[in-house]
Amino acid sequence: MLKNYFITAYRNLLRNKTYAFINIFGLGFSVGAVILVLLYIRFEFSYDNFHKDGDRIYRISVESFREGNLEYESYTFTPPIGIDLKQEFPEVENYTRHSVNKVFYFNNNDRPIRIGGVIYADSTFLDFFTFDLISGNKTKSLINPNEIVLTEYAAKKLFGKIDVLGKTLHAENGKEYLITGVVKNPPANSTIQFNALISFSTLYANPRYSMGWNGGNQYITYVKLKKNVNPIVLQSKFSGFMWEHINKDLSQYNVKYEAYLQPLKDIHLVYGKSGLTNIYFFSIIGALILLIASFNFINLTTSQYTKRAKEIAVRKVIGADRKSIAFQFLFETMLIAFAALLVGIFLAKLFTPIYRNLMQTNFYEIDLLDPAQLAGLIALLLSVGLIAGSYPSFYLSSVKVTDAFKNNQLLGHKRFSFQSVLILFQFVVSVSLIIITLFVNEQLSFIKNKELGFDKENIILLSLQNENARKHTEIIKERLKTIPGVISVSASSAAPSNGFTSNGYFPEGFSTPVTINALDVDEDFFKTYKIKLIEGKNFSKELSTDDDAYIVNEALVKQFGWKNPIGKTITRDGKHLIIGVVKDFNFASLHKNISPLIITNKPWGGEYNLISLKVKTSDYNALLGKIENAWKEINPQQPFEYGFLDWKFEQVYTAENNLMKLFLYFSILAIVIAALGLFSLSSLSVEQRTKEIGIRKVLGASLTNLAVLSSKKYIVLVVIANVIAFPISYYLVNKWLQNYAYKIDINLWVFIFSGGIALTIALVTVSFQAVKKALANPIDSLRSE
Amino acid sequence: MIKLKGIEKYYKNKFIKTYVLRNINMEIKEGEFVSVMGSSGAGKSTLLNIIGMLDVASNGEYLFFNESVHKMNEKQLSNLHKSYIGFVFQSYHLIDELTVYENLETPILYQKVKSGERKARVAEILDEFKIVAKKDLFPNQLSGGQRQLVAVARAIIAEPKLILADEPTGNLHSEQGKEIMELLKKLNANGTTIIQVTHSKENAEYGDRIIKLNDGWIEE
Repeated sequence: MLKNYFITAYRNLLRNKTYAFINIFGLGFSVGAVILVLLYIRFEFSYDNFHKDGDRIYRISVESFREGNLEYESYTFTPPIGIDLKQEFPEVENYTRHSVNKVFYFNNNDRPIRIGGVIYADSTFLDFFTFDLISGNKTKSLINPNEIVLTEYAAKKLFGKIDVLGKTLHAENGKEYLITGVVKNPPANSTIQFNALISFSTLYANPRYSMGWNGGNQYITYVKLKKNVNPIVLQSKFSGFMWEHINKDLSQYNVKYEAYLQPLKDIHLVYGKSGLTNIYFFSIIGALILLIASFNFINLTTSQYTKRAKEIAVRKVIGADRKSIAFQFLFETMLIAFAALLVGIFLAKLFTPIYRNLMQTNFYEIDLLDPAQLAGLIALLLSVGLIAGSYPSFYLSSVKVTDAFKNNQLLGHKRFSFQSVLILFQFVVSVSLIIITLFVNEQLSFIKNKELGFDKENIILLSLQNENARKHTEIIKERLKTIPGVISVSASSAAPSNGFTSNGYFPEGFSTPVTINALDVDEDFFKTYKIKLIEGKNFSKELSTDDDAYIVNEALVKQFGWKNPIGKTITRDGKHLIIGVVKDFNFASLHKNISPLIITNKPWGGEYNLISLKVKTSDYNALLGKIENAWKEINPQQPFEYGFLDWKFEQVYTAENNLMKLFLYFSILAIVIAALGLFSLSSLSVEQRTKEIGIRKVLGASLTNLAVLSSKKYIVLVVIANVIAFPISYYLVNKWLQNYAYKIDINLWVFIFSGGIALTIALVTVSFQAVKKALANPIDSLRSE
Repeated sequence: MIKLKGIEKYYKNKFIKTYVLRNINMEIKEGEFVSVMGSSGAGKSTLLNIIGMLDVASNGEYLFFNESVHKMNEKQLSNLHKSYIGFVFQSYHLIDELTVYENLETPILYQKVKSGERKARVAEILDEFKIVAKKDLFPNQLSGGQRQLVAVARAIIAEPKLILADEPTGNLHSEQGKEIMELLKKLNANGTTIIQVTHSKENAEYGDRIIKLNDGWIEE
């Protein structure tokens, strides 16, 4: 029987090549898109699932309250919290800690090699987590100070091989580290990423680091709970614990920290950067595209009803019941879905690199030998088959023998309304996607071109990574200033792009501290960045009294309601006089309004992090060559690395720009598939009306008359779709724009423009066939009678 | 075999009932060869479709081997007609996408006949109808007479007790028509009950008796 169905389906497809092609490729493209989305989702859900006992591991996160208000939450905290948790709570089996990422320069044959992603990790780290050790010992590798475990990547970069156990590494700062192990690179789906681990005891051995409860918030602590411990119950006891260890001392400032547990498996999706949002977003888009393609299939199959009605009737006459007819068409749909799946797998494979790149994740490739993926693909096949095949099977199996033999068009008008609903849906989705894409595009280019209050063009950034550079910043600056083409050079703690650090300060008249953004700069900073001083004066090298002075921005003055800011004081480790006010500039992303800012002339530890060069040249390569030479003269220990401020800005919005591109691709896909459907539907209906068109032409109808005749129904549908799509997309765009402090107005013309695009596409696709038929000699179409 | 009591068929269009069949009473015994005659629109095909369970009467009783057809649901009807009735149409109604062989095989596929027996039955019938050479051709590669031959072969492959033929020679020229009528006669002689609808007096004579329909009524 299946062979009989298969033969019939196959020969039917061959006979109607155009529709077969549209069905298979329309479904194929959407299946490809869905496969990519599924691969991505699977990868996202696989984060951190490779750790043994992972369901008992929790990350400690801390919420910081000031005067009862939540200020921020952070999973980086002080070093001793893990030690004390284990000591005081029997529920805690063990803990481990690691520091935030550091950059190291290791010497190899006197050539400095940069290794980023170096973290200080507890001796328990390798045993606690499941990272595969290639050489060394899980429990003994990170015990003593100055021991280091390299990843395969770092070992190869430094030595060109991984057989390096027992060798010594010389860091640029003169320290020596003993290699006690080599570990495989952390998998792509690991939250914890590193290139090298240095023993945590190294930190304790260095008196520079404060490792108590009042120490730097630089450390991430994980705990492993004993079996059957309820984390909620345990967490409820943390309040008293935190009071004893830290909050009691801070209560005078009205500051409080509350600790809670984040399950390891939730860290990426729930507590990570928009992981879940992206998953929802792409699931919805994937589902919509699949629906659009399935609706094409449904409409095309039911419209071809007349071609199949006779066969169905005959089958019923010779013994088929309704169930077997329904099954036959479901089977036929499954065959087409299978062909579409093959096309989809091919396309998914083809587009994986692009999608990976845009999503900035390294999700796994499609792999048919992976049982989970195979099961997923089969499930996808079945659901496509069912979504696309159910209605046609139901509809076609209901054909009455007597009707089919007598009059082919009998069910015609009944079909119209359902078909129209499907077309309507397709165009509501397509038009909404076009509108949203246009607005997202407009907003992103608005952000790119917005006046920021400083000049970000032609600024080269040099990072002061090593001690030598930090100690000799003044010399480097003076040397760089002598290069022709360099207009101005400034050292600072950071460059404006993605926000500055913040500290607690006591502004004049405040008894509790206020958290304010801070930036440390030299006296050339405002000149270099063309930031306007609107009151008071700049820092000056000559006046040593200025060392302790602050310059603030307008936002700060406004927040504290100061009429005469000059001369006011702000307290932090002593009183600081305000000597100037700068015009507000956007130092953080445009998602946020400009917040108050304190600018000091005294960097932490007396060392700046960054040099900014304002340049003017027509030959960047030559200029960069000169800058590199100057750098090497003074600081050969650190390899010359530079960046442009523009790049940093692009980075801030990379994720958004990539999402925007993906959105664009998906929108194009959706509208192409919808248009394809409209095209084939209209050509089918024109085919069925060939005779009518011939007669009308003979009777004197013009080309326009005929085009209108055949496209009216669809055009009306697309117009209605626009009307429905406008409020939907308005709502969504408005909601999205609320993520930005600086945003575009929602313009009416975008709606009109997208409506116009959709209408044009519909009009062209629909009338194409009609015009072709109308241009043909009517005698040909009438002769068949 | 077949008893019709007060069968009526009408179509409702808004408030007007259009009658196709009125108060049809008739009985057909197993082994009979009955010809139904009448002018166009007299209701011949509708009557045949109701007997063949492709259509249902609006009123009246229909007994098939003493079972009440008018009380059956779609599935029971389908089962009954599948195992007892074969059809032959004026315009053949072969499946265009299937070859002669596949067309013949389809009815017994629906009856879930096993593969070995299926092959044997198709081979037997191809042989009997002398169309073995045509078995891999598609319907549009055959002449009208050949198509009708295949259609008759398909109608009897499931070994039905009743064959319903709706103007079986209507599209054929007289030579081919005669051949088909002889074939039906032979089947009848072997015990198959046959009801045919026809315009032609000559063809009607092949039957044992003639039922005349006029505007939905049986002419006595």
